Amino acid sequence: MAEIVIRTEGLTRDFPATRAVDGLSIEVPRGAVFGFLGPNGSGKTTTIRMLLGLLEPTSGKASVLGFDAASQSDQIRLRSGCLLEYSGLYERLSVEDNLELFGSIWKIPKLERRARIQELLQTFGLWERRREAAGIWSRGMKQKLAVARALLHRPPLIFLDEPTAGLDPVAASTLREDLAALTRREGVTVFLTTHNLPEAEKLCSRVAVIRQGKLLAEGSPAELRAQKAGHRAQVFGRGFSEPILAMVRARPEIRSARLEDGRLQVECEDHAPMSPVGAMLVGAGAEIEEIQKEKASLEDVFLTLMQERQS
Amino acid sequence: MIGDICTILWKEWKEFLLQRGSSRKTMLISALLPVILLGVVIPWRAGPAYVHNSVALVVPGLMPLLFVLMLVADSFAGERERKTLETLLATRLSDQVILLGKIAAAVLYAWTVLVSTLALALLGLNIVYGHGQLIMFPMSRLVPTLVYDFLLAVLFSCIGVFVSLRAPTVRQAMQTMNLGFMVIVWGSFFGLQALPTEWQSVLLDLVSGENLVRSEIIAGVILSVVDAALLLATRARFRRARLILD
Repeated sequence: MAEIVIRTEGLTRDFPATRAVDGLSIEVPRGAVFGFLGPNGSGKTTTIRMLLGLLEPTSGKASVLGFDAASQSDQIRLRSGCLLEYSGLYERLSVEDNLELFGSIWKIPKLERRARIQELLQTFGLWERRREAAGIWSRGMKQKLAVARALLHRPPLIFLDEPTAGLDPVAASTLREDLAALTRREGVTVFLTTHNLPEAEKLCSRVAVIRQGKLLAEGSPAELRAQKAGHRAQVFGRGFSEPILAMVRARPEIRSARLEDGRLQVECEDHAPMSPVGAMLVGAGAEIEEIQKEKASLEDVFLTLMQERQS
Repeated sequence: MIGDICTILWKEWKEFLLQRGSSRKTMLISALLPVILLGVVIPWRAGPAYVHNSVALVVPGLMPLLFVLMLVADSFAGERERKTLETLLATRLSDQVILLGKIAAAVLYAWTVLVSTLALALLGLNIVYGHGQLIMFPMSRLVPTLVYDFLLAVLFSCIGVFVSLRAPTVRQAMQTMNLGFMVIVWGSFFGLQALPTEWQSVLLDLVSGENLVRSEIIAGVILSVVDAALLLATRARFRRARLILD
C-alpha cells in the first residue's frame, strides 16, 4: 500500500461569518496527482493554507509528509513547493533573479542552482528570455515560471492552487502538458486544486470533490464515474417510438433514455453491456445502424454531486 | 540565519532600486545620484571648510532616513499589494528571518548611503584641497552622527514595518508614515516654541557645552531601549496567519 503523504481528519476552519472547511478527512498517497475539486469559495485555498501551516485549523488535524500541520509547519514548508492563488512572482526582478532568490531561500548550492534553473527554464521553453523582468510576461508564462519555482528545490510534494485559472485554452493546455511531464519525471506528489474538470481528468490519479467545505466524494476519476454516473450510449437508427422508449427505461441497467436529434441517448449503469438493449430494440421493431458507447466524464460526476448536494 | 537574512536583504534592495525602472542602469543611477550630490558636488563646491559646516553631517544623515521610510512602506504592504506575500510566507524562512531581513535592508541601506557619502566627501576634499594635510570631520560630531543615524534608522524601520504590516497598500502605509512624521516634527517644533523661556534655556544647556556628551549618551541609551521595545513589538505583531487574513 502506498505511503500516505497528506492525511486530514475532521479538518475544520471557521471564519467569523462562515465555515470555510467542514470536517474534511482525506488521504493523499505518495506519487499521486491529487485533484481537489470544488466551485469557487468551496474551501480549496483555505485547505491548502492549513496544510502549509499558514492558517491554523479551528478543529481537526492534518499531517503532511509525516509532520503535524499546526505544530510542525516549518518542516512542511521546508519540504514542499507551492503555486498559490497568485503566481507570487517578484515582477520587478528578472526571471533568472526570481529563481535565484528562491534557490537561495531553499539553500541550493550555487552551481547546482544555476544548472537546475537552466534545466527548468529550458523544459518550459523560457530559457532564452531569462533576463527579462517577470512583470512583462504573459499570465501563461508567469504561471509556468511559478511552477518552475515550486519545483526548483526538488520537493517531494507540491501544492498547486488553480494553476491554469485565467489562462487561454492554448496556454492552459501547454502548461498542463509541461506539468504532467515534469511531475512524472520528478516523481513528485501533487496536490492540485481546480474547478477545471477536464484538467483534473487529464492530470489526476485521485480526486476529491468539496462544496461549502464539505467532502462530497473521493477516489480515482474512474471510481467516481462508476459511483456517481453511469455510462452513456448513443443509438443511431430509426423507429424509436414512445412505447419502445418506455421499454428501454424499464430495464434495470438503464438509468435514463431520451430521444435527441433522432438519436436514442441512453445512460446505463457502469459496465452494463449494450448488446441486450440493442437486441431488445431490434426485437421491438426499431432499426439500428450503430451503437456508440461513451463514458460519463468527471464533469458529469461533479455536476451530479453538486445537484445532489443542492437538493 | 545570517545567510537567510542576507537573501531577504538582497531581494529588498533589488526590488527597491528597480522600482523606478527595470534596467540595471536606472538602478545604479537612482542609487548613486544622492551619494554623488552630497558626497562629491556639494563638498567640492564648499571647499575644505565643508567638514566644519554644521549641515555637512546633518543632511547626509537625514537624507537616507527618507529612503528608510520608502523601503519599509514597501516591505509588507508592497508584498501584499503585489500578491507576493503569501508565497514568501509559504517558504522555509522563519518569521524572524523575514522580519529581520526587511528591517536590516532598510537600516543598512540608510547606513551604507551615509557612510559612502561621507567617505566620498572626505576622499574628494583630501585629493583636491588636502595638500598633504588630512581633512577630517571632527570626531566629536562624526561618531554621534553615525551612531544616531543607525539608531534612528532602526527606529524608523520598526515603526515603518509596524505600519506596513497593517496597511493594505504601499500608498496607505506611506500616508500613515508621512502623517506620523509630520506630527512628530511639527509637534516637536511647536512644542519647543510653546515652552516657557526658562525651560528652553535648560534644554539648551543640556545640548551644549560640557553637558553635550552626557546628553548624547543618555539620548542614545533611550533610543536604543525604544528600538529594542519596537523590535519586540513588531516581532509580536508578525504572525503568518494574521498576515494571510489581513
